[in-house]
Amino acid sequence: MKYEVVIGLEVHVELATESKLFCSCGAKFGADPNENVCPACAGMPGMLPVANKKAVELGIAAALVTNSRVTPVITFDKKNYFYPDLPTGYQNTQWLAPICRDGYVDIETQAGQKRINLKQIHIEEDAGKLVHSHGVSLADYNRGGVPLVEIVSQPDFRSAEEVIVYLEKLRTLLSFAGVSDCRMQEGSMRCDVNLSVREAGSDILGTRTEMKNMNSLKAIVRAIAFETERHINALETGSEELVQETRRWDDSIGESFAMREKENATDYRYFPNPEIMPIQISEQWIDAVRASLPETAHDKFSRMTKELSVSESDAKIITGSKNLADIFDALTKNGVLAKDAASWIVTELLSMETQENKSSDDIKINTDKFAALILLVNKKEISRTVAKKVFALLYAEDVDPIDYVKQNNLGMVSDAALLDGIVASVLAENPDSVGQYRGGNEKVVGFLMGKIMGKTAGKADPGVVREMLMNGLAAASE
Amino acid sequence: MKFMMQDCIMAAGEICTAGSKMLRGFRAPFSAAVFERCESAGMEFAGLIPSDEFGIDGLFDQSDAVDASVTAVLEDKCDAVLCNDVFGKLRRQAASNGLIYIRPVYGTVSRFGLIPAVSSMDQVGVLCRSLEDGLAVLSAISGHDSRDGTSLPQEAYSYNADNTRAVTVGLADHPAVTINQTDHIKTANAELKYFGVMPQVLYILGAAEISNNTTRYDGVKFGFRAEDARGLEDVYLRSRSEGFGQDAKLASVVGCMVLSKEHYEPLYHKSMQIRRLIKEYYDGLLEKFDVIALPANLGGNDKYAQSALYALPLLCGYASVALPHNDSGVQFICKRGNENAMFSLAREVLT
Amino acid sequence: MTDATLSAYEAMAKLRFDNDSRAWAMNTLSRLEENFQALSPVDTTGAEPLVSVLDTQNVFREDKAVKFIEREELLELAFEEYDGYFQVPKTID
Repeated sequence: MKYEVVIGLEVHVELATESKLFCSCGAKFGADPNENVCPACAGMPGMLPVANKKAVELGIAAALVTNSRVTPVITFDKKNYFYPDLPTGYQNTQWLAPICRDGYVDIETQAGQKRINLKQIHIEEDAGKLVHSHGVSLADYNRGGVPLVEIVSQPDFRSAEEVIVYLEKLRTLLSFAGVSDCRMQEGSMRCDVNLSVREAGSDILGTRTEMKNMNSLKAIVRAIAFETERHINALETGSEELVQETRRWDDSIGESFAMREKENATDYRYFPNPEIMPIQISEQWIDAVRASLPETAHDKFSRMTKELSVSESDAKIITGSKNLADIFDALTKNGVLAKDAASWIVTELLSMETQENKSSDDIKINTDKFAALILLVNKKEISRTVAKKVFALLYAEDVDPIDYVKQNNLGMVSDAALLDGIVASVLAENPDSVGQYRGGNEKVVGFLMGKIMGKTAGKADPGVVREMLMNGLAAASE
Repeated sequence: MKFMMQDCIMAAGEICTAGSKMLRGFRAPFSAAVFERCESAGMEFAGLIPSDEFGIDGLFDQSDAVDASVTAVLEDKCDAVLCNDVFGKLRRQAASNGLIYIRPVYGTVSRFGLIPAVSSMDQVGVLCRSLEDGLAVLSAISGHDSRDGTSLPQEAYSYNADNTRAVTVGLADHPAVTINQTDHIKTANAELKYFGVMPQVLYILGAAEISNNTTRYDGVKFGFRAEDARGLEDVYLRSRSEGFGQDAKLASVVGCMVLSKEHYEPLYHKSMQIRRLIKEYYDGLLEKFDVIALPANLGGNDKYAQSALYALPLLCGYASVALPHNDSGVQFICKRGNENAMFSLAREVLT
Repeated sequence: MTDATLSAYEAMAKLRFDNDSRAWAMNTLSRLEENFQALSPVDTTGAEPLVSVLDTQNVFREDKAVKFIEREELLELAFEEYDGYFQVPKTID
């Protein structure tokens, strides 16, 4: 029997606002516990919700980049449940009139292009975070009330590959539009996976299970593989009865577990929030948001390759990460040629990423100093060798390249008298190599260049050195 | 002028529990907008008065103890008490005890700092001895507040009772309401509709919102936690079972019922629709009349049956003033913009 | 209204009536449930549900982070505080 897996996703993405959705507490990641909390988002009585305009605008932006139909009048509803990460006992969400419906995202897989249809996107409040220590649980409500959008797809996925490509595409679309930084490791992008299995060719959906709050692509791939296997196994052997339920994915064990019955039987008692006035979204407002959207990754790629003569491979890497694209823009704004900026990012900056096992989104560098360093090389004030060393220091310790070069006397050496002496001494110290050159082996030039550069601590102007070396070798061959 | 507040309205540093054990020891971390406004108008704060639990004690039974706020004014502890008149009890009790209760139009007085009961109906009002005191307080506390998303944009309001003003009054056809025609007061019987379903709509919507507004009191984060409760579920169950009084508990249960998947459409959704029909009808009626006059009490003690009497300002957001008149007291009700006509009529009736 | 139905709503509300008040709760709830039937004959065809009596729209604040209260002050209200956190009953085993 051949089986087909059918997957739908609910992707939660925290919006890139300064403040929370309905109170003015800060919304930035990384504050000390409960530092960004007021009585309202700690569940205390007496404060009233006032909607954050930016959050709605980012919701509109999310609608635009996913080709969705914006709802003309949106409203907010209360979703009730008891849990210590939800101090008010209800979450403000959009049950009746979400920000948009009926969008789609086109993805490119090995098999070709495919359209993933979206049911809807709604804006809602995030919950707080619980940490567990010395036999108790501790609540941090910093994240509670931070605005997010939940992007609900149709059950259009047929493989883990499609899921991953979609999530990456979504991350690119949303991060370039400034909707979210989409950092899975910080929890600003999370994913619920709804999965069922049916006989290939059937148009009846099988029993569906849901795995919530997945926050790494690797875990998602593993979870899909495990859950698919479990479903197929159950269908084939009847070893267990599949029930529609929410399951918890334990990535450390690599298995999914049924949650207790109770957690599946919740009646959320949704109802419209009478304290949040409806929000009318006019065509003019949508147009204004559209006009203010930054360049998409797609457009940036075209511009880089067609107008700025950046290679397609470099452009692809840079437009694959909003962070890299921002660094690229900052470098070119500082006067670095697009081509140079791209090659420095792809070769030098990304080698740091690999060394430190970081993602392209996490890599941080002072772009003013980075630009200054590249310009020093272009103006031949330092050699590429020196530049690489300084770059490593700039990346690790944020040193100022101009000051550092000056203080350590690393400026390019092209003083003919000094270099003449060094070339002569290297030739004198390596008679064998000179002999080999005479015998027609030109490879030794590289070896001798290395020796000379070594003696100048890499500071010599390689063009000048090469000319002197070739002259020296020619003289020795006569 | 001396003012007090029910302890469902917050004054920074004071213990504000809305009469609930669930909020035991809750020291208000900020002050209500109405408190700030009274203080800056130079009024003297004379303390908080214990409220009954979320303003709904006796909602489901026959008990009808005199509210501590009413007693405070009767005993001359202050000139006015800021209150939240949740299901009309304060209007009833004020009028029966020779006092006045003014309920402003929803959205004209900030609810910032009010511990909510029924968010779509809650409105801070003024319990007072004299109409003039009440209007002074009301003028002071009204006006836009950006911290309340349901606060209307008008910056300030000025209320007065000029008893020479022409007023048209629609009367409930009830012997308790006798308003004499004068050269400037015109009366006619008003056709009152929907009274038969107002209790249902009021209880369904009210209980749902109370239920939701009180889920946050759970023994987990602050306030009351049942002693020796063990584990999360136990903390929830025992704290909420021991911490809430009977009416609050039943309101929670009714709220869960009407919002449950099974009942949402026929009860909750339908109540919101009927609320629309009620508002449309009475908006029209209040085009015809400046003021509608209803009894403030029908006698008897069935709160549920009587709740229709108090429902219009709650369901439609109208202003009202309840005052002594004949035996039962009278309530006047008006739309936004007609408050001064209503107060003029009240002045006339009180004279 | 059966005992099981009442129990289901109690579970939703996370509270219980004690033995003394359970009969009262049950009676009152039954009466209300019966009385609520009076809504069904009301013709509400085409009536838009009324959520708020206000007809305002688009009430916003600008996206500016403002600190409302110091953490220490907020945590003074906590039932239990631990190292900047609200200490809450254990949620996992």
